Amino acid sequence: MIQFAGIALILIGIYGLMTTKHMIKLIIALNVMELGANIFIISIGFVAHGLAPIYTADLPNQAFSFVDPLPQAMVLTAIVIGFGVSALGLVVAQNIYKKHGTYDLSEIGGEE
Amino acid sequence: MMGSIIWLIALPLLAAFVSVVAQTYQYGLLVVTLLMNLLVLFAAPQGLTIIGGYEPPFGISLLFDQYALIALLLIQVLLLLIIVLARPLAKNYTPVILVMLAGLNGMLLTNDLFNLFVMIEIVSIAAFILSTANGKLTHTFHYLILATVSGVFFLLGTVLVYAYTGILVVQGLMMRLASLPVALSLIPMMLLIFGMAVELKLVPVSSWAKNIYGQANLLTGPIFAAVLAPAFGFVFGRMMNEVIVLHSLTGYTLLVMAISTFVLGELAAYRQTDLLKTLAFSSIGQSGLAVMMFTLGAPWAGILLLINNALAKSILYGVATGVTAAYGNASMGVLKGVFYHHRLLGVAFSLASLSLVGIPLFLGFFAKVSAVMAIFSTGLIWVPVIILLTAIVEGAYVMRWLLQLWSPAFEGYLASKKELPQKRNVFSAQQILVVGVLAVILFTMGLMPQRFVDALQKTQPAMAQYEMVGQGEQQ
Amino acid sequence: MKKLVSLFLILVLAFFLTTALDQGLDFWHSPSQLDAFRMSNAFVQNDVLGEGGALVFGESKNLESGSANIVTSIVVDYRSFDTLGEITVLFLSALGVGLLMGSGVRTTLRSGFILKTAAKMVAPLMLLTGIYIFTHGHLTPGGGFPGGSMMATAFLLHYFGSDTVKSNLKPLKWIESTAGALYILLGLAGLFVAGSFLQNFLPTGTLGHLVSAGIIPLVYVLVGLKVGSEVSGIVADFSKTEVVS
Repeated sequence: MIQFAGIALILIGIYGLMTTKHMIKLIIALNVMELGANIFIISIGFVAHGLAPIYTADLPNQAFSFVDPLPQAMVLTAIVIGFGVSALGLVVAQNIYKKHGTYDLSEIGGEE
Repeated sequence: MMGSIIWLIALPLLAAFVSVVAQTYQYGLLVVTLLMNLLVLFAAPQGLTIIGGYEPPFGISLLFDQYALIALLLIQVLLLLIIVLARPLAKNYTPVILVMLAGLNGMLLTNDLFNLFVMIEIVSIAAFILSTANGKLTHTFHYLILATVSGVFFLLGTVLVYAYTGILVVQGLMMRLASLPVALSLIPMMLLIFGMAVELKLVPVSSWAKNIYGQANLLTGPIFAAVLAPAFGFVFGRMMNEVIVLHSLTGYTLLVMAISTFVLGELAAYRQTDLLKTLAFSSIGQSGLAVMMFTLGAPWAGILLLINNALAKSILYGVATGVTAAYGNASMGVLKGVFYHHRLLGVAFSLASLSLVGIPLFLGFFAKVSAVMAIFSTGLIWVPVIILLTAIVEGAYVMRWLLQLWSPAFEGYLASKKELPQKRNVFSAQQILVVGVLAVILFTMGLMPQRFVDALQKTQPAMAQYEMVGQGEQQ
Repeated sequence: MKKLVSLFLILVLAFFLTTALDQGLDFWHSPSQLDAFRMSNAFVQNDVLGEGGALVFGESKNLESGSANIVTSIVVDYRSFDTLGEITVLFLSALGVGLLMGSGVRTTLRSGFILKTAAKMVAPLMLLTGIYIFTHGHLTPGGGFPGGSMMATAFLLHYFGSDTVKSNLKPLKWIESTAGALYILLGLAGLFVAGSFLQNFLPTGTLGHLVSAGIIPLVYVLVGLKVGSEVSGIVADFSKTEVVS
């Protein structure tokens, strides 16, 4: 079921992107969407009664029930990329705010 | 070791990390890196390069073939000339350009779908930062949101491909995907196509391009139109040949998007009275045409179009942004008769625009002819008709601009009415030389297109084996 | 009105996705049906080169990757090139933030006594925890990215808690640049010693020991330092404000 949560978050994010013109809210919507995508990716590696793919002293040989580690590795990369884009988006938004005094794109409009 | 293709990525990255602390030598590092990359391109043997010591599908590998060689050569040469052309601007963004170079090379070389996503994100983020050089941050923000959303789509597509096939290797992935039921492969293919649509400037999401391209300066204009656009075009070509399975739904969606991009882009370009905006819409239209070629299974027509467009646009944008900066405005009224003062630039500009339209004896002519021929062989008669009709529109606006910019018959008349702009300094001798070199490259390619096309067609065998539009439906 | 239209579109999209993906959304596997098709089994068993077998914690020696945390061995060994791209993305966004916030001075916040005292006590501990996390990335959950972020959080707390933050961020730039360059040099060392870029060329030791897994801990230390200094740099850049003249 968890992948439906991911899809729902992606759709909520898209809805947010479509309806708001506020830059900070746009970035938040973007982050919600990325979060949904990440949850969806993690759900792909699911194994019933699976374990985290780490060898430990308590469970020395459990490889047969490890969940798929590759989607987790991909999510790590996706999170970092999402972080980088958000930081850049926020700094652009802040610079626009400094120039125009508002975070609302509809109030700025007509900048040609 | 020394001739390994990995240097194309490792060297720019190393230079980028070093350049942050060695700010005095940044620009020199960039030039040296590009020159070294050219050397590596000629020294490196073609084939599969393994990274980390693990064979595909387990590890990541780089695929260096004729197709990649053409794309990489084009990009290194153009980027080198552009940074010389826009030297003062490039100096502020050297580390970004270095990282972008690594990303571009990685994007064109990588043989792993997820790694391709990472590289595309690197290039996109570098493009966001470069686009701030235009000084219009709302446009950058708009671009950032669109490109990131498409990045998420691409990521989801990649992950679904992994979930259904269990591998991420680009080479031959189409075979695996085509053996899936249509119900499974439809959504990942849609996601991958929409994931690339923003960077390819396809129609529902091309609005960012008219702003970013239309407000470009001497650095961003040539880089966006002549480096980033062809690079993403080449990546799309690779994807169409190795990964994307076209069903009737995805195929027609993509075709409709490409054709409407082409037609609407060129029509919008016709209506503009601003030189940079005209070029922006022309870039959008040409991108649609190249995508159309790759979609219809005519990769080398697409390659020719991309090369012609990249070379022509580097000159057009170089001259147009230079002139705009010198005369303060890109509107038709201000720039009227401007080449009266700048004959050399005018000749280069005319050459490039004639090649862009596809006048015989220029590279563009061969590109367009091969495109039309390729489509006739697929049996879709109405597509070449659309291409030819749109080409007339394209020819009309290019001619109008050339007449306005040269305004040969009215020189005396305009000068007497003082409508001819006062001469201002546009370029230094060095910059004019760069534009001249670009023009010579474009012109020489047009003089011996047959040899050039032959060299391109050598890329065919490797690619042709995956050329099966709509194969997914037969399963 | 616009909201209703958007809502309608989203619902259509949701319907389309859930029906089209209906069979496609079934990623639930029971352990018994896994082995046949999962490529990750080779990662889990350290069997990519065909020399693995059943692994035992604390006993298996000289594995191809040798990290007890399989996600780490994928991130830093099997698909290390992605990680290189990943730190490049972070580098790039730190660069962009620095460029866009370039002209400005750092504001100093007025902080209360409790925050000041607590920051002095907690920040070093957080720093230490961050270092612990990225040096043990091949054994426990975590690694360079969480560890580096934790170091950056310590920096942020220190910044909130002190009235006078040193405005000189040169050392951060140096750490960032050196760590990045060393990562690539480590990769190139792999190219020259073992034959391919980013190859694990050191002995991998015993599964589960601190000194094991070849270059993986080294890479994670570099990644940790780089991420820590970069995120700290981003935080410091964000606190700049425009000089009002």
